[in-house]
Amino acid sequence: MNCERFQDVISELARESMMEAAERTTALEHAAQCRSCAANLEQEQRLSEGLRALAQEMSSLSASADVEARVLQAFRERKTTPVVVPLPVRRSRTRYWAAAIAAALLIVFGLFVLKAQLGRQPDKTAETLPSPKSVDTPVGGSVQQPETPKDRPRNEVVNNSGGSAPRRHRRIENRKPTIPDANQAVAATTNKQQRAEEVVTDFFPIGYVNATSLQEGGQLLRVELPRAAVARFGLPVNMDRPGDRVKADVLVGTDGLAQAIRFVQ
Amino acid sequence: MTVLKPTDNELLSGILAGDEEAFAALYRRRQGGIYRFALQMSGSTALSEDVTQEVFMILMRDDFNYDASRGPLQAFLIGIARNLIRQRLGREQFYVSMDDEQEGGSVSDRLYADDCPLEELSRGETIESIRKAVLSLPARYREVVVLCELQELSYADAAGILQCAIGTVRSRLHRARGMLIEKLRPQTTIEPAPDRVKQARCFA
Repeated sequence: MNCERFQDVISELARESMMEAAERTTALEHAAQCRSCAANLEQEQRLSEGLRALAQEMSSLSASADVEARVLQAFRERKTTPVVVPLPVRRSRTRYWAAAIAAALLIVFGLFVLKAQLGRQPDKTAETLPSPKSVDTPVGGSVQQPETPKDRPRNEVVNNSGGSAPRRHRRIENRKPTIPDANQAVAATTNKQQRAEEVVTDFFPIGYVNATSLQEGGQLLRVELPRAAVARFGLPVNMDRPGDRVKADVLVGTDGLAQAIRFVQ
Repeated sequence: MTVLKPTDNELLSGILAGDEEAFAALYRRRQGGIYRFALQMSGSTALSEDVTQEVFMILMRDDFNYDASRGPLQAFLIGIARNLIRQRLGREQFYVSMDDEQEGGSVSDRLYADDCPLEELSRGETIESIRKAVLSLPARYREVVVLCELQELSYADAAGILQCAIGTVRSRLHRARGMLIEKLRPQTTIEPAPDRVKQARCFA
């Protein structure tokens, strides 16, 4: 045994811990031959003696009687107050597996739908609105009367909590204003001409689409979104200009929640 | 006819059933070890009593979840005490400067006088110097010394309390013992100065 190896076992040797008899013998033989290691072993042994003496001296120490009195008093008070013992909750692994399988199926279904949407995209993106009227026609067919400007002011910023689209700076224009004055009529005509030239994508559902709500009608709202939002729906985006804004139509159901979105070029 | 003492687990069952005698018996059986562990870790009797009390307050809670298959109750209670002490003291915060608390020269100067270390000191002085040396260790080394040397727990039990591998306990103890020897070694190169400057310690 060399000095380096001796240093590895010196603590065990001094503490008289269990160790292999052969290793112990060779370590003691080394200490008998090496004066430096023998001195180190002596220091370690003295340290062990000192620690044992310290442990022995402190062995009679304990917390004061006041602590015991306080703890027992707390226990008595606890006994007098009714205790509701919660039933142990059994967590079976089958529930976790079922949840994991359900999540996996949901992901596969989502990917399937997304792939189907992307497959149809080249044909549909070239779709042009036939007339401005079709833009304002909700999916359900029967149009409910739009809100008056008094109910909802123009350019209102909406915090839409029902959808997954970006929430900031959604400026909403009321698509069906009440009888306008002359200026508004000119502006409306101009808007209709612009929309006739617009190219739109398919509607993408936002979150959970409530079919009942769509059947009851709804309203299209024109908004502007960051270009990066387009990518969230799986559409190709020129990421050289991610900060640019793109127009989109949000289909809002009668429950006031955004149901679907389409992008406008 | 000998009457067998109830085990910790039997007393614990009694405590859960509201048996005050069982609680008192378990307290009297285990409070000393917890108190001493806290005292050896902190050096403060007041803090040690607070920690001891808090451990048993936790023990009487309903959400106290001790699993007997994972180790003895004493180790579990010391583990709670350790966490409480760490919360009170903060990491690596509690140190006792050996030089600051000694009068008439450092402990090491007297401890290793001439060629006979430890021998020229009285037993009381030796114990006190070692106690202070242990308290001056960084917390992670101090706790292995306290558990393995002063509480005389096995490496396995200490590893369970510290939530680390047995090899880690072994290596930390080896290192801690080396640090203790260094702390108790005389500093022969330093000339005794009338006004000793308090040394700033580096714990990097």
